[in-house]
Amino acid sequence: MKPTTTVPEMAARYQPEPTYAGQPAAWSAHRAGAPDRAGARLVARASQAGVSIGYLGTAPLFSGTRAYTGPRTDWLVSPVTSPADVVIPGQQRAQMQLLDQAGVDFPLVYIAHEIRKGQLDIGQPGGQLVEARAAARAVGPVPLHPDTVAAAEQAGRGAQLLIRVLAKALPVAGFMVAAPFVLAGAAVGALVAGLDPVVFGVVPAGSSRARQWTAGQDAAWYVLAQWDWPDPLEPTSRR
Amino acid sequence: MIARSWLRSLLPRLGGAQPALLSMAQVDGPEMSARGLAAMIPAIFACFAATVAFRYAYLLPLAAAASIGVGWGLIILMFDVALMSAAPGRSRAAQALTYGARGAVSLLAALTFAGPLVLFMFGQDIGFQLKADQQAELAAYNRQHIVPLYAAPLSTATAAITAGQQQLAAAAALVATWTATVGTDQVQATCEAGGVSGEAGCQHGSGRIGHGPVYAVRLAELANARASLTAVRARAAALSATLTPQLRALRAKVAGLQAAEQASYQNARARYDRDSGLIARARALAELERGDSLVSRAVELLTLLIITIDLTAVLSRISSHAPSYERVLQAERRKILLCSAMAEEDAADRHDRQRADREADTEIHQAEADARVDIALAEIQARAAAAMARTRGHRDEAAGPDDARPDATRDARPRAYRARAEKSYRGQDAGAGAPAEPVHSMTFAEYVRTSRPHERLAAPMAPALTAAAWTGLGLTTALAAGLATMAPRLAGPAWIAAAFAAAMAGLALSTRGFLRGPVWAQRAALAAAVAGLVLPPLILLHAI
Repeated sequence: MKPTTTVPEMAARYQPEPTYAGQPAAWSAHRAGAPDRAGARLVARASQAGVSIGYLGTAPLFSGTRAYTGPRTDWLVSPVTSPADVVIPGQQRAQMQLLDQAGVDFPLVYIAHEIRKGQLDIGQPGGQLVEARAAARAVGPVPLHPDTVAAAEQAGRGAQLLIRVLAKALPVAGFMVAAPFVLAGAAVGALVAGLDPVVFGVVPAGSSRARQWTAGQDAAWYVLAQWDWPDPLEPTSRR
Repeated sequence: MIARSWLRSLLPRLGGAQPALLSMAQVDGPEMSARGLAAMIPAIFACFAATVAFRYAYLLPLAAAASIGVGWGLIILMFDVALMSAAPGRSRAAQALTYGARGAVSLLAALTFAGPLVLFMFGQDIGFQLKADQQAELAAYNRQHIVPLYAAPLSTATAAITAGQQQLAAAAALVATWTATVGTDQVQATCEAGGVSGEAGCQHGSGRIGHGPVYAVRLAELANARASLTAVRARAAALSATLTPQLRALRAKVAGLQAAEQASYQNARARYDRDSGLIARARALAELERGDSLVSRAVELLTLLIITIDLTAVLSRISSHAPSYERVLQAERRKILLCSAMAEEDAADRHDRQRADREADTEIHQAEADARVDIALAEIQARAAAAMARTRGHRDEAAGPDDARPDATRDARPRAYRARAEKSYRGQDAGAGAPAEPVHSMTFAEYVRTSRPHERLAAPMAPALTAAAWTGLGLTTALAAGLATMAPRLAGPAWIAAAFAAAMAGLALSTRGFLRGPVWAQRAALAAAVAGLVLPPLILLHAI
């Protein structure tokens, strides 16, 4: 089957529901209009393992990071090579571990990052190559988990209280100034809250014993996981 | 040579390696051999410990004890080989469960075998102590049970014998007294008859020779004395006749009682001499420990040594790494998994192919039918065209030859379609990179393996928390150093402080100096800060 659609176009057509922590979007093998039998079988195998994945269809491979425009937000899609891309919410990670343990294998993994409009100047509507630094700047750091932020603030408050008590009991302990603690990383991370990455598993067509794939090669694309980054300054108990 | 090669292949097997896979990762061969050695050491030690324990502590014959020892060693060996063969990529909970179970076995085995081994080591001292204990216990038993049992009858019989003997002695003394009196009276009568007075032992008499009145008195006294002597002798004989059998019986009774007492004592002694079992020796060891701190320290050290040796396999498994072998092993597992998946897919493919074949056959038949219809239609059209041509030929006899435009139009469409399709296949119109450019990405397995949970992402620690934790660590370290150098008697608190300081230092390392950490590290740092600031005053108060 000849490729008729690029991955960015397929992803642009896909409008994921805002989910986080174990609410995978409802994908269907036929959603992208490519009811390929092998894809359906892989989806069925994943389903047997208790994991819901979606078959998008076939599209050529590409290297580097590509940016393209979407209706409300822009997207950056790239093969996963960076350690920053391997941070996954626990529930999605457990789902992927189940897939891995079930023997489902994808020779390549791509990740799509949703970015706000205007962060990158994307001239071509069909997508364009973006420098890795610019892409990393646009995607930003992974926001901290709200529970981690809450625990850090709680520990900081506890330490301040301890120091105040000590300063009253022992004046010499006053050298430890108990300044208010603001978690700067959490504030930065809050900027990317609500933007969701999508993880794609890609199976190139044909067999390559050397496991070397080239751009332009035809491949089947699957959506493995998708989530929204939570707002780190909003604890999960209040969400 | 053969033995060496056999050992070379055995050790990696015991270390959990499969020789076929290890041959593909030979760089990890020494590591796996070391694991094999680490699995053998606890087994050999367990064999020795169990043999000694059952031979010395439970007093089994050597063959039976050695059989039990070999059996126990094999169990430990199998346990450790299973531990070594466990898959490297298991979850932490599974690893903790396995290592915890092995650690519990090690602890229980150490507590079971440490006692007998210590008994074996201090056998001579325990023997002396056991003998002393036996003698002390025998004396106590004699004092509390045997002597009270025989003392009363022995005392009664002895008193009766003494009384009888005193009566007989008194009678004999009386007889002797009267015998002397008879002799004296006889001498005085002779003195009076000879006229001797006041000399040669004679009393004052009449001094006249012959048998006068004084002499008659002397004879009367002599007759009285003889009569008394006769009477006393008769009484003494009667008393002797009465008392002698009684005394003989009493002496026999005393002898019997003394023999019974001696027999009871010998029985008790034999019983206490036999009391050299495990409990008695353990008691003797406990007494030695109380008496000498060296023994108690040796017992503690030996227990620790047994635990450490027994945990050699666990420690080796945790501390050693064989990345190449583990990679090969994981690849092999994945290969098997993929093979089964591919077989499953092949079966599905075959099923699809058969269905496609059936559909193709149907389509071929349909196509044949369609072709026949087309041929018939074409024939009709051709005949019609021929008829029309013939008609046009007759009408336009003067017309020229036709151009080839329709054929050119027919050929141009497929060429354009093919060109566009090839371009699309290369991905050029999709805007992809150069066709020959390689695509680098993690595989899904690598992605899953290297992935990190978002919930465990490290967050910066508050400066106050960093300062408090470092202060706590400093105070605890200073306290441990101070107690160790200035107050040797407070070794216990010093060890507690040192252990706590070491734990805090480990936490500081894992959090890059109390600067960043996940949720657990944040809470642990706060707990460490509180404990580090509170523990030193508490220890100092306790010391004061």
